[in-house]
Amino acid sequence: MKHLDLIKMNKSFGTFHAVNDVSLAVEKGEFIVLLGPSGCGKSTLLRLVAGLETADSGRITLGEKDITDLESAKRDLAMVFQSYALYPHMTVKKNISYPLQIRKRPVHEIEIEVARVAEKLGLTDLLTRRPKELSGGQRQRVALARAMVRRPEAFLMDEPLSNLDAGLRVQMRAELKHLHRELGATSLYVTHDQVEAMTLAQRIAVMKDGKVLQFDTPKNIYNCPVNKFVAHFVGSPSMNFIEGTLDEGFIGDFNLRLKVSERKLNQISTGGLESKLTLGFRPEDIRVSKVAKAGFSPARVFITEELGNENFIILDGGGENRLTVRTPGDFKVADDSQIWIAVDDERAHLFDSKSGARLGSH
Amino acid sequence: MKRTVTKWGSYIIAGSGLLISLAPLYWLLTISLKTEIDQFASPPLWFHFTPTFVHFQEAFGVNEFGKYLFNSCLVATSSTLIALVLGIPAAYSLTRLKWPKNQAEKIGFWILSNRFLPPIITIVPLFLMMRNLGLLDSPVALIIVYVGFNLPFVIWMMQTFIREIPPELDEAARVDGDSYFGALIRIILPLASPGIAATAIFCLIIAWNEFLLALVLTQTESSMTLPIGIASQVTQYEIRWGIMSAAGVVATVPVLIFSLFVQKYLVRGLSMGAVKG
Amino acid sequence: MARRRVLWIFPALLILVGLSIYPLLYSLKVSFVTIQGDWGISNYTRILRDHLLHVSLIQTFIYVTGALTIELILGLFLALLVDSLGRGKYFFRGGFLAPMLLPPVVAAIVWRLIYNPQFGVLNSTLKLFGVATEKLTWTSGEGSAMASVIFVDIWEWTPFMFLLLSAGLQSIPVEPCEAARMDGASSFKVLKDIILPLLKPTLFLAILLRAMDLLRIFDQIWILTQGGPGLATETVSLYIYRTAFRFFNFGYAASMSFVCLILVSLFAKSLFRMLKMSVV
Repeated sequence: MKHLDLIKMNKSFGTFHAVNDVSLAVEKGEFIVLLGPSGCGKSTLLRLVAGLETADSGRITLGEKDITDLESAKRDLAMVFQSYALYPHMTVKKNISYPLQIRKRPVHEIEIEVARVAEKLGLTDLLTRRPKELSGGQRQRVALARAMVRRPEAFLMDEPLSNLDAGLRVQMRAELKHLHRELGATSLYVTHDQVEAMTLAQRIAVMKDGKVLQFDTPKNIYNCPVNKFVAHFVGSPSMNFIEGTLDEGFIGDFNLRLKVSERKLNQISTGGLESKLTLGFRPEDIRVSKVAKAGFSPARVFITEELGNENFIILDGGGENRLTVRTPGDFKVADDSQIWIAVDDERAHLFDSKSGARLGSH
Repeated sequence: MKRTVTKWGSYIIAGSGLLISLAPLYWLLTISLKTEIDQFASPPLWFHFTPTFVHFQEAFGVNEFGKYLFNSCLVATSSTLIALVLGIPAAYSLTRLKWPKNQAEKIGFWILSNRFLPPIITIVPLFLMMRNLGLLDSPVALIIVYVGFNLPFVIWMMQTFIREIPPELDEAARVDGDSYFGALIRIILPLASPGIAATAIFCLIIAWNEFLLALVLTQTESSMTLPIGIASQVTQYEIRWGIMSAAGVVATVPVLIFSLFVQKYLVRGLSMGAVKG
Repeated sequence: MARRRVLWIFPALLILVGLSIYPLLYSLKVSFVTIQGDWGISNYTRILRDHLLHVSLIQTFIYVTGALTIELILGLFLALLVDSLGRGKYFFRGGFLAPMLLPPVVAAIVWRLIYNPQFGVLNSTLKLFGVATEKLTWTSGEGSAMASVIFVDIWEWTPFMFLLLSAGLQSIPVEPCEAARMDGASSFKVLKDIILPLLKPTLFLAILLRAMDLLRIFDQIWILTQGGPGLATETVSLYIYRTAFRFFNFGYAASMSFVCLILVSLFAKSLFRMLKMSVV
C-alpha cells in the first residue's frame, strides 16, 4: 500500500538541475535509502519531501493527503539532521518536548511521552543536560528522540550517522535497524555510504545527477545492477571492470584478456556485441589458480593485502587498471608473480562501454 | 499569494528605510552645490537647480578649510602609523609569546577598557598637560592623544587577526632559524596584511571624525581639524550653510570611500573584535 | 623570553599609561583643589547640591534610554527584515550603513540644516502637504528639542545596531531553525523560541557598546543645540565641558568627571556580567 508517493519531482538551483524528474513510491512502514555520491540530489530530494525547499514541479502525497503545497510544520513529518540540529539553549528534555509543546499538548501528556521515548533510547539520565555537554552519539539519540516523540507519519533522515566515528557508526546502525523493526514507521534515509544503505534498507534508490538510476532491494541491486555506475558504487571492494571489444570470445588488451563464455554471449542481443564492451565482475567472483589451467588467463600480481581471514590480491590490469581478487586467507602468492584467473560466468556482467547500461537479462 | 505580498511589503519597507538613510546625505550634497537663494527655496529644490562650485572655492580658497583639511590628513595618518607601529608588536606579544597564566588576558582587558573611557574624563587633565608642555594648539598634541585613543583598538583588533594565523606557521619559521622579530616581519605581517589594512582604515576614520578632543586641544587654524572647522561655521549670528556643507561633503567623501574597503571587517571593527562579521 | 614579551608591549603600554592613568591621577589631584585655590572636598560636596548637574544627569538618562531602546528595536526589526530578503540583501545592507559612517559633526550639521524652522527642508516639505509648521520648532523649541536630538542619534546609529544584529543573526545555525519548522513551529515561534534566545549574547553586546557611546555623547548635541534651548538638551558631557572651558572651573569639572567614571564603570560591569551569563 503506497504511503509516501513522489511524482515527477523537479528542483533546480539556477542552472544546476539538482532533482530531475524523480518519481518514487514508498510503501507503508518501508525503510527506503537514497544512496548516491555528493551532489547527486539525494539531500535536495529529502528536503523537498520535508518542505524545506519548494519543488519547481511535481507532487508529493502522504497517505491520502497531497502535501506538496503544505509548509513543513503541517506535513506531520519528522526529520533527523546530519548535524542533529538540537536547540543549543534548551535542555535535552526541552528539546524532546518541543514538538509536543508547539502543538499545545497538555503538560502531563508531554511528560509521559518524553519519558517513554527517553527510556527507549537510553536518555533518561541525560534529560537535564544541555546539548553541548553531550557526546556525538548521545546528541544523535536526542535528535532521534525528538523525531520519535510525536509519532509522525514518516521519518526523514539526512545522513544522521556521518558525523559519528567509525565504531559508534556501526553500533548506531544496528540500533536504528532495531528501532525500525519495533516502530515500523515509514522512513526515508539519505546516505553516501553504501554499507549503511545495504544494511539498513528494504529498498535502495541509487541516485546520480538528480535521477534515480535503480530502485530495488539491496540484493537485487548488488546482483543485478542496472548500469556500470550502480555496479561500481555498490559493493566493497568495488566491482572490477575490463574494457575492450570482443575478440574471439575474449575481452581485454595485451595485458590481460579474459574469456567470456558462449552462454553469456548468447544472453545478449546481437546488436550489443559490436560496440566497445565492459566486463564487470566482483572480487569474490573470480577463480584463481597458481598454475595454468584451461580457460584461465594469466595475470601479474601487483601487491597482496592480507587481512587474516581473507586476502585481497591486486592484479596489474595494464596501465592504471588494477583488479582486486578476494581469496581465502591461506592463498598466498608473491608480489610480481604470475597467477591465472577466470571469471565466474554466472555472476559477471557485460556493460556497454558508452552508455554504461547492462546488456542482457539476468 | 501570502508570500508574495509579504515579500513586496518587505521590499517597500526596506526601500523606505534606505531612502530615510540616504536622503539627508543627498540633501547635504545639494546644499553644497546650490546658490544661496536656491538653498532656501520653498518648495525645496531636490533636483531642479543649477549647480555651482562657489562654496567649495570659498571654503578651500578664501577660508581656511584647506589648512583644516591638511591638519586632518596629517593628524589622522601620523597617529594611525604610530598606533600600528606600537600596537602590532604588542598584539603579537600578547597572542604568541608565552605569558604567565592569566596575565595576557588581564592586560588585554585593561587595554580594552581604555577604549571605553569617556573622553570627557580625560579632556581636563589632557588639556592641562598639553598646556604645561606648550603643545596646545599644535598638531602634535592631537597626534599623541589620538595614538592613545587608537592604540587599544589596534591591539585588540590585531589580536583577533593574529589569532587567525595558525601558530604552526611562525613556529615553522622559528624552527627554520628565524627570530621572533623576523617571524613577525616575514610571516605574520604579510599574512595579516588585510587585517592590518582594515585596522589602519578604521583608525584613520576614527581620527578623521573625532571632535571633542580636537575642540579642546586646538584653538587656531594652525592646528584645527576639519570637524572643528565645520563646527566653527556655526557662529552665533549667521550660519554659512554653503561653506559648511561644502566642507562637510569633503569631510565625508573620503570616509565613505574608505569604508567600502573595510566592509568585510566592519562588524569586527565596530564590535572591537567581539563579533566576527 | 620574559624580557622579549615585555619589551614589545612596553612602548604601547607606556603611551596608554601616560594618556590614561596619568591624566586620571592628575585629574584626581585637580578635583581636590577648590575654587579658592586650596585643598578640600568642596568640589565633591557641590555635586550633591548642584541642581544643574542633576538636571543634566536626568537629561542624559532620557537621551540614553530613549535612543537605545528605539535603536535596538528598529535595528532588530531591520536586521530580521533584510535577512529575509533574498536578492538585494547586500545592496540594502550597504545603503543602510551610510549614516553611521559619517563624521558625527557632518551628521549634526545636516540635521541642523534640515531642522531649521524657517529654511530647513523638513518644514518646507511639510508645508507642501499643508501642515502648519509655525509650531514645529524641532531643535529650537524647548519641548521638542530633546526628541529632535534623539531622533538624529537614531538616524545616525541604528545602522550600528542593524549591522551588529545582522552579524549575530548570520551566526545562528540554520539547522535548528529548520528542525523547529519540522517540529511544527510557525515562523513567529521560530523567532521567539529559537532565534531570539540565541541572539541574546549579540543583543547584550550591542547594548553594552551603544550604551557606552551614548553616555559620553557630545559632538551632535553641541552642534545641534549647544545644550539648549535653555537646558533642554544639556547632557552631562556638555555640562562638564562648559564648566571646564567656559567657566574655567577645572577642579569641579574634574570631580564631576570622576563621579561619572565610577557610575559608568559600575553600569558597564553589570552589563558585562549579564553578557557573560547569556552566552549559551
